[in-house]
Amino acid sequence: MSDFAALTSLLSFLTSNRGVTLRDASRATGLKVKEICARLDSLTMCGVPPYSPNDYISYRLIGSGEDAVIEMQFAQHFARPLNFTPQEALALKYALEHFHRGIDPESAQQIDDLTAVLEQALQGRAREALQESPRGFVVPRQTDRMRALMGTLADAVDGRWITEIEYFSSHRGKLGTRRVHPFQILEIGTHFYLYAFCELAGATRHFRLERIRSARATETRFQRVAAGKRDAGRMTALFGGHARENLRVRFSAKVGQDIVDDWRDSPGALLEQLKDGRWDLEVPLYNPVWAIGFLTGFGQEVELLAPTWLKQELAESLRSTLQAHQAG
Amino acid sequence: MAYQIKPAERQLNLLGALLKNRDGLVWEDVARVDGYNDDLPEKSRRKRFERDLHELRDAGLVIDREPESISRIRYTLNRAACLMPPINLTPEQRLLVFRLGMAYLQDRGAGPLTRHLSTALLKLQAGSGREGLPAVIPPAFIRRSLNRRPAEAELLDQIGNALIERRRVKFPYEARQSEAATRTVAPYCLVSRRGGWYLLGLDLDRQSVRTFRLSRIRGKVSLATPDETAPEYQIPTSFDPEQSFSTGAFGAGENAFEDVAIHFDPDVAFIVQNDFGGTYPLQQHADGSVTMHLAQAYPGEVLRYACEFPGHWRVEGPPALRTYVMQRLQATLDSTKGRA
Repeated sequence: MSDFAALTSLLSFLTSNRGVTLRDASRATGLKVKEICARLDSLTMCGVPPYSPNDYISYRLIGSGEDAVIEMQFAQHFARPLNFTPQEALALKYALEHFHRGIDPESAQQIDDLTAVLEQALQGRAREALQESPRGFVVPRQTDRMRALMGTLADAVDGRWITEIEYFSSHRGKLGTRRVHPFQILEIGTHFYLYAFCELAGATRHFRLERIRSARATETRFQRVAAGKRDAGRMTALFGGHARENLRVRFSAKVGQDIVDDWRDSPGALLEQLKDGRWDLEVPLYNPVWAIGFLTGFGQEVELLAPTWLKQELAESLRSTLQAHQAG
Repeated sequence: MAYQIKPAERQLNLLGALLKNRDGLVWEDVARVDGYNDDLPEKSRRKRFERDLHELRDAGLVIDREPESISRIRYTLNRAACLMPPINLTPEQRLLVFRLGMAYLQDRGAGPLTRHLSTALLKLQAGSGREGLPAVIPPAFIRRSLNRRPAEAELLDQIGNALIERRRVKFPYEARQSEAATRTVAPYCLVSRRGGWYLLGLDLDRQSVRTFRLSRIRGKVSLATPDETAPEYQIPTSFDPEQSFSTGAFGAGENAFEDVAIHFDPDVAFIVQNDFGGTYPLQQHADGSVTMHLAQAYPGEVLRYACEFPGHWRVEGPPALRTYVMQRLQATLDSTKGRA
């Protein structure tokens, strides 16, 4: 897609939404404020004959900083946007379908309604793309319980309600109750997380959503943290955060191909094939519980090399699972 | 030095002139538009104009050409075909559109959808009339992402773009137990499973729908016919990804165990309900535990999922799977002892 498509859609958006602030325009477009300003400057080079001052598109910012209001001038002929291209219709369809698979029931209904409105309103190839294309990005549908939980947590985030959650901590291996200040619901990899300040830990944490048994908003609001503090949480997912040490494991030649497929080119992962066909993998260790599950899945095809303390935890985990089988 | 007008700005000028002149433009009008009114010979400027017309058509614009004489053509914007019809959205729907942008466009969560989704949402918010934005703009409290493995992000972008554009791709692919070979594929869909993405598409050499694991692509993905700009294929309306590929969490196939039952104790039963309630039959017991029933499952997938709950689960059946799992756990334990 050309810069032309990006410029015309931005122009239509800003012309139709008079009084939008730079901050809100940034949130609506996904563009940084600086990028919006650069594009606005590009637009001021555009006009139509006879090129009197009123024939050039112009804008002014009323106010300062990100709260400045954008006021477009002499661009009214762009107020009505161009029709969707088939690619835009498809991108929107795919995004709506993806959104639908993991969202609360009320929002899911709104997505259905919006899709119906679009199918009615759009024309030509854009309409065909919307109506006739099969799903493009197929992900598992979240269960009704998860969707209900998402609704509860989204309300808590929106209302800034301190929330009590019952959470199964993998580290502790048991359920516990925590009071959290919920900031965001995040999809990272194949999991959803609640990103929140945990009063028990005194720091931000990422809570796997499916491990929250219940969530109840209290009647107390929390103060929103400064934006800069938002990323200060410990990341429990595999691909982020601050690893203190590395996990080193050796895989048999039998499963080597799977390991290469899964880990090749992954950030921070080192793969080395030994002369006998086995593979050594070294990755940052963020979460010992994940590592134990990962290693157990490969059975005797894997050998844990480091850290040594994890061998003990792995052995205990295997013993407890074997006991559960023997008791049953 | 005179300002060199950029192609996007020049094309915007042309569109502006077409929008303002409902009767259309002839070359003499175009020649007054910035970007076509420089000192180069008319032949060069006309060529530039024709190129731009072509690009505007690629962007979805319908520009009618009406010959007025042998050498004079009138260009008119087909407004009905080009401009978005008014779309009346409720305040809730406006909010939803805005939330969609916040959920996917920040941090490039939309991956290959980003460029087209961005312009689509802007158009939608412009096309839903004045005050297209919700009255109260909420914080960005949901972030969604199509990305799974960081190492796959670039491949997902390339193949996802080709899927949206309906363009054929080719890539070196190393199937299990075979050498890498170039495959040419018309992408039908991408399926997320086992933490990564799989491409389902028509393999043009084999003339059948095949599955390709993105992590087994070795090297670059490129367009099969890079000079082509138009869509190259249509996806059959009968195509159903669920029928072409097992999207079940525990897999299904020839070597999978059948009639699998896994018991989870009360501490973790709710997690299984969160993950699979309504997807697989879950038998609830009086003590709060659950038994999950699966028509088919691979032992590796069972272990991968359940081993995150050490001591909280056991295979109830079939006996062969239970024995297999226990032997595997014991072997792993023995090897750990030996090396500890």
